[in-house]
Amino acid sequence: MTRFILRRLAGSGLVLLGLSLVTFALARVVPSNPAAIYIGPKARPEDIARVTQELGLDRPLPVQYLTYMGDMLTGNWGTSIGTKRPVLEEIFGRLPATLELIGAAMLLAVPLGILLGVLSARWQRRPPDLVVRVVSIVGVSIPAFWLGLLLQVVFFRTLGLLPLTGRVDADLRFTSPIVEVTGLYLVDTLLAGNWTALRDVAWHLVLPAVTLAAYPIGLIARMTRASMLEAIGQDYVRAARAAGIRESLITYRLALKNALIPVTTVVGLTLAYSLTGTFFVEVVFNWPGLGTFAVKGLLNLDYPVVMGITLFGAIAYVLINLAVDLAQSWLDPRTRLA
Amino acid sequence: MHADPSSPRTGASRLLVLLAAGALIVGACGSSTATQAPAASGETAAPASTEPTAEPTPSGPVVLKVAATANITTWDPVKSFSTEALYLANIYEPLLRINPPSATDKFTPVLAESWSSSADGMTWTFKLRDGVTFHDGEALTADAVKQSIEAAAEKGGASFIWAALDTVTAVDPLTVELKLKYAAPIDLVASSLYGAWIVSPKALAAAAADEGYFESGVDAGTGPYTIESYTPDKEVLLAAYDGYWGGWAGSHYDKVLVSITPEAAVQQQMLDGGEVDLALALPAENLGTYKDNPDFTFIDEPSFFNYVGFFNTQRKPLDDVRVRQALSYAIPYDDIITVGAQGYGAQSRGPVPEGVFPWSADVPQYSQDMDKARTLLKDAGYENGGFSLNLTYAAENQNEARFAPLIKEAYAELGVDVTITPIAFNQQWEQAKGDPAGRQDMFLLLYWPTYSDAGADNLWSMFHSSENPFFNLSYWTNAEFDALVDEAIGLTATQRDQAQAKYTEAMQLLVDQAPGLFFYDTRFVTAIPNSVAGFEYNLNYPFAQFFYPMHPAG
Amino acid sequence: MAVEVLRPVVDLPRAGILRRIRRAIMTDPLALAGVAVIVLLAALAVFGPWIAPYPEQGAGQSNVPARMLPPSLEHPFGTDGLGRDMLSRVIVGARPAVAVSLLVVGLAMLIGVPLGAIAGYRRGRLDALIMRVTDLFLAFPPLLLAMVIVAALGPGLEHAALALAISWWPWYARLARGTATSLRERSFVEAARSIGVGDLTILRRHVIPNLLTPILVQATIDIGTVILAAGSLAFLGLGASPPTPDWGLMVAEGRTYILDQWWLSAFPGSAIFVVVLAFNVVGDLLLDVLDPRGTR
Repeated sequence: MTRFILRRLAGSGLVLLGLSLVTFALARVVPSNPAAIYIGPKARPEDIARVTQELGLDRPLPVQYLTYMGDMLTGNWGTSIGTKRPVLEEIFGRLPATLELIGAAMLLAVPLGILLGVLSARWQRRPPDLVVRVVSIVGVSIPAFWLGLLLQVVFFRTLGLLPLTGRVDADLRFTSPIVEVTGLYLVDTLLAGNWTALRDVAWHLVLPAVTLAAYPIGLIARMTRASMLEAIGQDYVRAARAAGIRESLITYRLALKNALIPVTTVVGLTLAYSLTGTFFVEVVFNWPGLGTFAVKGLLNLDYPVVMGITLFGAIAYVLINLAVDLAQSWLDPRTRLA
Repeated sequence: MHADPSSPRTGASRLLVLLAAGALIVGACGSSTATQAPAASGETAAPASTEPTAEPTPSGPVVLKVAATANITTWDPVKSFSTEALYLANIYEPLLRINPPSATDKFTPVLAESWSSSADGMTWTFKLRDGVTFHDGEALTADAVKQSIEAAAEKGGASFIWAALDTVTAVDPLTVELKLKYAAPIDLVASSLYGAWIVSPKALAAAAADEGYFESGVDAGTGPYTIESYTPDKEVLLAAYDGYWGGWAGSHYDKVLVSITPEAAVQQQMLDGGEVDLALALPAENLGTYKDNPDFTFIDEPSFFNYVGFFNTQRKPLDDVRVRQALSYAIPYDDIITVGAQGYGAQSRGPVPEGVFPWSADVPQYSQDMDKARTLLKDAGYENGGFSLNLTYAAENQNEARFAPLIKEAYAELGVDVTITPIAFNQQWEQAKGDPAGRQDMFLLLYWPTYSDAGADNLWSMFHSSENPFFNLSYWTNAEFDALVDEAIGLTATQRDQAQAKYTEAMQLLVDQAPGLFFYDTRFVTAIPNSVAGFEYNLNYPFAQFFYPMHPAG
Repeated sequence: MAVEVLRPVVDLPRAGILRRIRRAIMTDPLALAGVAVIVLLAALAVFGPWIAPYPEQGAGQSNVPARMLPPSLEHPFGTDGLGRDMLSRVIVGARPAVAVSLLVVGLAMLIGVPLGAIAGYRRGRLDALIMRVTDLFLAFPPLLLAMVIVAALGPGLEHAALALAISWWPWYARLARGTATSLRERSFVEAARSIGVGDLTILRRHVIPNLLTPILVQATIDIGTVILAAGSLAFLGLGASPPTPDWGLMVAEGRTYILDQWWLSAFPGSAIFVVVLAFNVVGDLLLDVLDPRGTR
């Protein structure tokens, strides 16, 4: 087990090293003249020369790469051209909003997806199965940005039930302000017993979370169904069935337990999907998280932000995959050989 | 002279402004939140006296909640050259403020109590208001003014507005004297929205030592409000500065909470739902609903902004004036205003927006006339068109994205094929200034003057010849036009009527020669709830909104 | 890497596969509808300009007096800000959608298949190297790499296609490698090798042609996903740029009017949705038929 973990860790380390090379290349290739971008179009040639030297852009590429690595490791991810603040600070400042959104979406998607998958497998080729299959395939096919817009029209414009965008009402800070502890507003308001704010936060979270959850629900339901069917077909379940153990007990206990192994993987994967899925949802709902920040940086070619987001996203992605692999190897020792 | 081409507005800030304007366009027609409390209100010697009397102060702070698109590109009042003007205009103050065209007095003294200029326009003297303090406790002195102007002239975002300045001297603690290299209208310069804020010397020194000094939301102005808190991309909370020289007698807002809201539709939602008291960019396509609503005051005024297009006059066949005239006749001006500004615009008369000096009703306009266009093309030897043009516009600007196809379509009727290329404004501009072989044939631009002199800015910047292109992206050279504009600029400080006459002549020549297209002046359109009193509009301050004169109605 | 689970890997074809696919489609109404949508998409991509009620408007011609009209009999999908018939715009939009997806899948195959085939056939260090490179490309969250590339190149349909191909090819490399590895042990390959046929020739004559079937099946399934990806990029402003009649771009253009002129975004978005749905339904069925475990 330890050897497996070490091997996977080493593998992830290698990938991360490669990633740093790719982002470094992007930062040097993307702007035709990084120094000019850095000081803006007002730059005079002598300014560009000065900044080129200051940024070390006149040194050999390997040296530049080492400097860059050093900066990354010591937490110096550069300063955003747009906000004039350190990129890492900006990323961590916006992370809670995104985590809250992704977390809410996953809390919705995982139980619902598994439930749908189990129902579908339990009544294979019968009406519930058909309904679940349609729901899950719609979930994985619907463009999140479009779903978000439709939900806005229906739940804000037509029904007037839910807020259009944002994380909280602007005037909440005067009526019942949120004291930020974790940055996750649901948690913060809950801990403080601030029910007015909690309600407001929850209302704002519904539409974006549902939008972001659509794809994971579909994927998890499909995967649960497939693994359940596989598990049901296996010898020990058949044996249990032959021994006269009640059908529902079989499905829920034995099969589900085994089916959950691959489902863990899918949960990890949908979580990874959400890393970029949240970009679209945040843009539609004007959610003050990493996604809106990233998209703005991309559109304005704010290259320290682009690099920071790319690296941050890739690291998160690699870590999630690592966690999935480790969880799976713990649940199912056979995979360690792979 | 004047607008020193090496430094005018930075592309970066223009880009951000474009983004903001883009968001606005979605909403209110594309002009921005240009407004202020003009002459009337409390900034003069008798503060707040002209305002309606206040209601009894309720317990707790009186808060004005605003939804605005304006983002902060910098909190540094010296470097500022973008949408943060909305906030800075309430935190900092200039020496003078220019009034809207309708006012009787041209200027309102702000930090200067009085001012005068020598007959030749070369020396300007400002007497400062006594007893003014900066938010950091420092007193307003001639030395603070000197340092602020010098900082602005040296490293300001809009440093070029001080191009004429030779020296600033503190004559006595409350008197500043400006000596110029050539006659220039310093009253206009000193009332600029950019590069004319007076800043505490202590903060200037701190910013000189640490470039990021202001960026966390530090301020050191003399204005009525100070920054209480700031969350990037989210909100700015301003709080009344107790020591404000104008005083807090009468009714005012104690705090102003601005929610940075890029979407016009969301602003409308917040306004309709009572979440905010004021939304500065409502969706233009829905503004009609407020027009007849008795609870709102509908505002539809000229603005500082206009849309122009540049022909590349150095390239065939655009070097032929007949071709340019033909292409000017082919533009469907009305449709462009309908599509680009939801109808809230007026066809331009040359490159100066209406209401801004030296706009003139005597400057002619083209109107769509395809027969005339065909005849002119035929005369030029392009009977059935047969050439193609590459048009660029700023991808950030949704208005341009909306109306550019109409140009393509109209020109197609003449047999002229247009390729439309949307690119980020910075890249669009870099390409236009770069290698002549790689330049565009047509360039769409949203323009506005930095301060209220569109002669020295719009006319000079966009059409005066220069060695290296900056904003004169027609690459046009016309000695007669150059001479007229140069002469007019020299006359502006001392004989404004004669300057106006020269400018009018220059613009008539310009429109005839058609090095560019003059699409439309955008209008400032919004609806103000009647619960908010004291809202006044001043086109000279685009992006700004003065909160001090505003107060709850009743 | 675990990511593979997201993308079902097609197994080698077996005898009578086409007949089984046909039978499966005919007995599944959902799949039948999916096939119908795909056929319709293809027809619109080819004949769109002749089918659209207002072909010139579909291509971009304005009609300003008729702007922003809600759906009606004359304009079933309403009209946009320039007064163009949205139904025509959506129909004409089928061509760029199909073109981009074919381009992306084609380019990705062009890069991925040879690399994967070489890796699987040669094994050893070269294999390890190629696979580490694919690991690297697959270590970015979905679409992030493509977004960054488009941002760098500037918006435009071709740039979006290129960016998507660059982030897509590793999937095909992996798939090709897997198949090539198993082909390597097949008798006809071994026979060729034993009579001294060169590696390149074997790759060209025996390996690549034989692994094309699973790759092509996978590519067909992927077309829907690519249309969704390209539409998503365009929605953010990192894809097609105006005046391309691109569905994702139309959704983005209509977004500012979504609450009152909902038809501007709703219909082009539904076009993406229906097409992706169709490809997913048909893809599911293909995998069902091809899945050796038969658990689907």
